[in-house]
Order: sequence, then structure tokens, then C-alpha cells
Amino acid sequence: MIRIQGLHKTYVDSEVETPVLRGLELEVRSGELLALVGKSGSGKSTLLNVIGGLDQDYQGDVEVAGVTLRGLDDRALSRFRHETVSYVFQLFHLLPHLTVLENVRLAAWFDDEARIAAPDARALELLDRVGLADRAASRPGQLSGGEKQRVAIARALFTRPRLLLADEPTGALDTEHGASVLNAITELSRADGLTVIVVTHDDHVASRCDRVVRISDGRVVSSGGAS
Amino acid sequence: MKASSAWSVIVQNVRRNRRAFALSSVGIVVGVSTFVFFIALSSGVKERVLNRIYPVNQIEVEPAMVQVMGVSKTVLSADELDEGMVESLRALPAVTAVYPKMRSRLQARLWGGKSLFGHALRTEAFFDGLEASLLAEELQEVEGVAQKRSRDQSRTAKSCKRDDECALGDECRADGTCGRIEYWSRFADAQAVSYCSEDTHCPEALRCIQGVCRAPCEQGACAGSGQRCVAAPGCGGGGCPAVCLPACSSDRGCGAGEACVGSPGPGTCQAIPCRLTRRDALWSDLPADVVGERTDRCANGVEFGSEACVKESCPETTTCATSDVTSLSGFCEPPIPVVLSPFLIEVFNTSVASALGFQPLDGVQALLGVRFKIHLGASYFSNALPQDRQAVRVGEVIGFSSKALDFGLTVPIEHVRSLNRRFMGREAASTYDTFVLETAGNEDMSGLIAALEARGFELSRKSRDARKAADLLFILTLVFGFISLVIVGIAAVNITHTFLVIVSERRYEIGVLRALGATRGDIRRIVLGEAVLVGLVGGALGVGIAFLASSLANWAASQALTGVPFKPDDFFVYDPMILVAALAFSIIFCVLGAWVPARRASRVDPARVLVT
Repeated sequence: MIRIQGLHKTYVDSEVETPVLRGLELEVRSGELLALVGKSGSGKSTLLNVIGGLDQDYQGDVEVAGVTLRGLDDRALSRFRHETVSYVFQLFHLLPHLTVLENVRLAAWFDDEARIAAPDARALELLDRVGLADRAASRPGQLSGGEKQRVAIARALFTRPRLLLADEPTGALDTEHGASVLNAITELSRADGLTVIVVTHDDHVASRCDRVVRISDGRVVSSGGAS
Repeated sequence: MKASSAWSVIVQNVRRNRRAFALSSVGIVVGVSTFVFFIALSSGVKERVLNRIYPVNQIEVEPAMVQVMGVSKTVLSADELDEGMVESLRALPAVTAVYPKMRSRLQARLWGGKSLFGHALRTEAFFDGLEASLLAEELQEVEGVAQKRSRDQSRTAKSCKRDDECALGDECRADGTCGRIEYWSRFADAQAVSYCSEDTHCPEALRCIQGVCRAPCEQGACAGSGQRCVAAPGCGGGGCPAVCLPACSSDRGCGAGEACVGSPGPGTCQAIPCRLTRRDALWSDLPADVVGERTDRCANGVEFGSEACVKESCPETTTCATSDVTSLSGFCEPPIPVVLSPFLIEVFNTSVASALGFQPLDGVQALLGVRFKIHLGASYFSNALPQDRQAVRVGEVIGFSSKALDFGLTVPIEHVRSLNRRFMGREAASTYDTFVLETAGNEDMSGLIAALEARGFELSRKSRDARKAADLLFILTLVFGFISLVIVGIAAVNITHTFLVIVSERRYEIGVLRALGATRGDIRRIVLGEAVLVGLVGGALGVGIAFLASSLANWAASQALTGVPFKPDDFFVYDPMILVAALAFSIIFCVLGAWVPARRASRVDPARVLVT
């Protein structure tokens, strides 16, 4: 599903160069639930952005779902993000002026090829799966943190992506809500056969994954089953 | 991103930022309303005020004046300004029509208006003769003929034989039905009688026979078809010359003031002779049709002159016009149609009325159809002609035109020609004073003016003033257009600032949209689409405010200009293209204002804004 070879990424700020990824190599199998762990600044989120096509400023080869990301123009990259990959962010990033239903069906705006035939029905089905069908007409401001993140998961699954990237999905939640969000991610991804990469600092979250990849100083330092 | 999706996003975004957009588009609204208001005012003044004096494709020229030893002289001599000059002007490139103007060359005075003012007004009379076709359109507009006709359509036509069988304000038309009086149609060149006392008072082809210009028969026959050769009317005894007159079978086949003499059977149309029964009718307000009687027949059919004769008045629409004031005799004739200048009424209302204690005049209806007497050959200021050459005619106000003489009477040119010839000889009737030239468009005008100046002409005062006013209006329009441009330009800067703030506030949202598949172009289109919507709404509001302001200005003008007659009800002309241009103007400036923010929005880095 994902093949990364010799990935280098350096941030440049006021002529100060900060290398983040240093020749990282990684392969992820289709349908795998992978945890990326490591210290802050180790390059986990940067790696997630590169895999998700949000960051193109790197050296190395990155192939996701058979697509070589390097060299894609803005239109092709946008299409890749729309069709193949989706995201769950730590701070949810729901649009406050839209209802829960409208947030979930947000990607329908860019569905030029009408891949989702009935967007409202699809959004309602996903809300039902995350247990929030009765909150479809609510605004994000009326939801708890856990509920917001479940809405974000429903939004991420709307386009039937093949890869779900979750950056600290439980980082802003308490234990109870974090558990419900984690359950939602694992259950839905397994049901849909999704490949999932979760960036986390939480050992409990990592323990629920098929494999844990530890990154340190921009390289993979260990990779193995959750223990 | 599909257009329908983009539109719904744009509407949503504008709605949630409506307060910020409302504040930032105030300048757009003000700029657009200023633009539309002044362009519409400029078009209105041009079309409804200036064009009435002289449309952009018409100019009036007169011989240029030069100073020779302190004395003003015209470059062209009077005898050059004849029919040949009309033809040569007509041959100029770009000229589509030439209308010559002839001034009266005889002394005249007039009196009348007792029914309006309580006692008669008396003044010296000056005439201008103009071709009917030059004034027809304006006369109809001022009289509101279109409105009259539309009112007529809603009622059933009443059949009639005489005017008095129709309602007040109606007349019995040629088709035998009552209809609203259309005074403008009376401004025609047709004239029943051309008086004379010698051949030189007549056109070249006619001779003076029995005091009237007539065509003599050539060897007992007439050249023109539909004419018959008969003994000259009014000529008793032998040796009467034969003249050609139009053939007829009844009075209906003849013109106003004519009777079909000799009918039943083949007859000829002859002017109806008449006589005033009281000498004071010449100088008083007594209606000539009341004190005049026909001298060709009696109403009861007995021989004219017998004691049993019941006197008959002139036919309807005509009055007894005297051909000389000594004999009091003349012919039944329609009144001379007279057009007045609105400026004359304005002067009357603003100065004369208050000085003499008269009621100011307002509107067309009060004066249309008013008749007065014109004493030809007499003057308050100079020597009068001998009494046997003086005549009294009746004039009737039939309309108002800005092309009319400001202080005088404007009548059909054939009347002036005929009067000049009768009183001053053929020479006075063969030359013109000014010429109105018409071109297809305004763009040909500068070249034409230069060509005319080279031929010794210059623009008349009225035409010069009209062009100066048009130039001034053009400059004012440019100035206000520039002011609008500055206002909208400043508003565009404000729009830029508002969009920059909004784009900054929405950076997370933009990041999410990018993560979900929006291209940079989608983001740019959304922001620019919002600018288009703001421009459209702002432009529409600006146009609406301009409409309100123009209604207010029209109302204020109607209140303030009460003494000015014939002012337009509406000083504004809204060309649909101006409205389209105003909306485009508004949208373009909003889009320009949002250009940089849209570019900035499209460059938001989702990786940077979404991952904390």
C-alpha cells in the first residue's frame, strides 16, 4: 500500500535548516493498522503529511496506493487527496458554521465525478455508524470533544478512501472519549478494509494497532507488533 | 469543483460574513450610485433638454459676421442664400437633410389673449418660417399626442359631421369620427390664398388676378391634371382672364376655406370670399368668424345681396381674413398655425406676469388653440404700409418648440414666403436667413462645421449655445465619472483589506478543504466568486439608490421650477447599457480588490495550518 525509500525532509526557517526526516524507509501493507510513535519533533506528523500528499517538499520516493506522489501537479494531488486518502486531526477542524451532516458531506463539493451518488444518505449512514445520526442537524459547537472527533472520522470516511491518516486523534480527549474514538477508528477501518496510520504518544492507542513503528531522529528505529 | 457546489459555498460564505462585506462595500454602493446618477442625469439633460434645442446630429448655421471698419457685415451676401445654396449644402458629405429658415421682412403687430388675461396683449410681431417636418416630432412630444392616442383607443369613436357634435377637446376628423384634437398636425405649409396686388407678389409661374395669385390657363387649357380652366373667380363682366383651379364635385373634395363652385356637376375649388361686418372687428378681440360673413352665397339659398338673404358665416375651422383693411373683404381661411418658444412662456411667467399682475401660465393645454389677430403691414415702432396694403389675419397657437423664435412667432415657411413676397416682392421670398443641417450621427459634425466655416457660415447663437452646453455636460460627466472611479477605487482597497482579514480567519477551513480535495484554483474561485457576489449586490444597491435619488431630484425640480413651463417630468434617462455597465463596474472593482487575498488563500499550506 505504501512504499517509502530514502525520505529526507528539511525545514528551513530564517536560513536555519532543521532536518526532520533523514533517509526514512517504510512499507505498509494494505489493510494494516499502523501506529507511528516517537518523541515530539521526531518527524511523525511530517511523515504523515508527506504520505497524505499535503507536503511535497521532500527528497526520496513515496508511493501510495500505486501512485508516485513526487512530481504530481496540484490538480492530480488534490484528486489523490480526495479519492485515496483522508485525515483525522487532533483538533478535529470541523467547520463551525455548517451542521454535522454538512461537515460530513463536505468532500462532496469536490466530487466532480459524482463518485458518491447520494451524498446526504452516505453522510447519514456514516453518522449512524459513529452513533451520531441523531445529531445530524446540530452545529459542531453543540457537541462534546469525543463527538466532534467521531464526526471528523465520519467525514474522513465519506469518500471511501483507501488510506486513513490520523494525527493524535485522541490527543485532545479524555480517556473515556479517547476510547470511543479509538473504537470507532479500529472498527470502521477493519469493516471497510482500510489501511490506517495513527500518529500517537499514547501507549494504549499503540497497543490496539497491528504494528508499531517507532521513529527517532527522522528514521525508523523499530518496527514490530504491539506489545 | 462543480459550479453549483461553488455557488452554494460562495453564498454560504457571503452570508456568514455579511456584516464585514456590508461595511466594506459601502464605497462600492456610493461609487456606483454616483456613477449611475450622473450618467443618467447627463443622458436625460442631453436627450430631454439639449436635444429639444438641437439634437446632437443637427446644427443651425447662419452667414458669418466680419468687422469692416467697425461695422459688422456678413461674409455671404443675401442673394447667395437662395434655393441654390440649399442644394449645395445638401450636397455636402455627411449631410442627410437641410431645412432652410426664412425670417419675416415685413412689419406686423399682434393683439389678443383677452380670454386668458382679462384684456388683450399687444406687441410687435416677428416671424420665422420653418419646415413642418423639422418640428413635427417635438410638437407631438410636447402635446402628448401618444398619450392622447392611447386614451382614444379605450373608447368607441363617435360619428360626426361638425366639431360641435364632438365633446370638448375633440374635433370631427376627415373620417367622420370624433377624436382628440391634435394641434401639431395643423403646422402645415398648405395655404388657401396667396394675396397680391401685382404680379411680383406672386411666384414666377403665377399672376396676380383679382387680388389673388393664380395660374393662368395656357390657350384655354391647364397643364396640371385634375385642374379645370375657368373664368377667374370674383371677376364680373367680359375680359376676365381664365385661370386653372382644382377640379371637384363637392365641397368635401376641396381644402379648408374653399367651396366647390359649379357643383353639382364638374366644379372647381375656389376660395370662399367674405367680408367683415364691423370695422372694429379688425382691432378688437371680436372673433372674426362671428363678425365675418360669406359674400358668395346666402344660408337660405337666395341670391346674395337680396333682402331675404340670411347671412352665412365662414365654414368651420376658418375665419374671415381680410386682404386689406379698407375694404374689410377677404377670404375664409384657416388661422395661421403658430409655434411659440417655451422660453417666451418662461419670460412671461417669471417677469411679465408679476409685473402686469397676470396669472402665470403652465402646461400646454392653457395656450393650445388660443387665437389672436395679426395686423400685417403695420407696426408700433416704424411706418406702416398704406392702408390698402395692410391686412389682418388670425393666428392660432398650435404648439411649442425650443427651435422656435424666442421672441416671436414661428410659422410654416410657406406662410412667411407668401407674406414676404406679397409685402416685399419676390426677392424677399427667395432668400433664406439660416439653415438647419442634419447628419446621420454626431461623429460627422466636427468635419461638417469646418466645411461650413470655410464656406462663410458660422453656428447660430442657439446652436452654438447648445453645443457649448453639450460640451460642458460632457466635461461634467467625465468629472463625475472620475469621482465615481476614485470612490470605487478606494472601496476596492477596503474590499482587499476585508478579504485579507477573512482569508486569514478562514485558514484552517481552507486547509480542511484542501485536504478534502480542493485545488488551489477551487479556493481562488471561491474567494473571487464571493467578490463577484458582493459586487453584484453592491452594484444593484447602488443602482437602486441612484433610482431613488433621481426620483427625489425630479420631485425637487418639480417643486422648485414651478415657473418654468415644459420642463421634463423626468430629467434622467436610464439606458439599460448604463445599468449593465454599472454592475460590471462594481463587480470588476470587487474582483480586483479580492485578487490578492484570493491568491493568498489559494497558497495556504494545509500541512502547516492543520497539523499543530
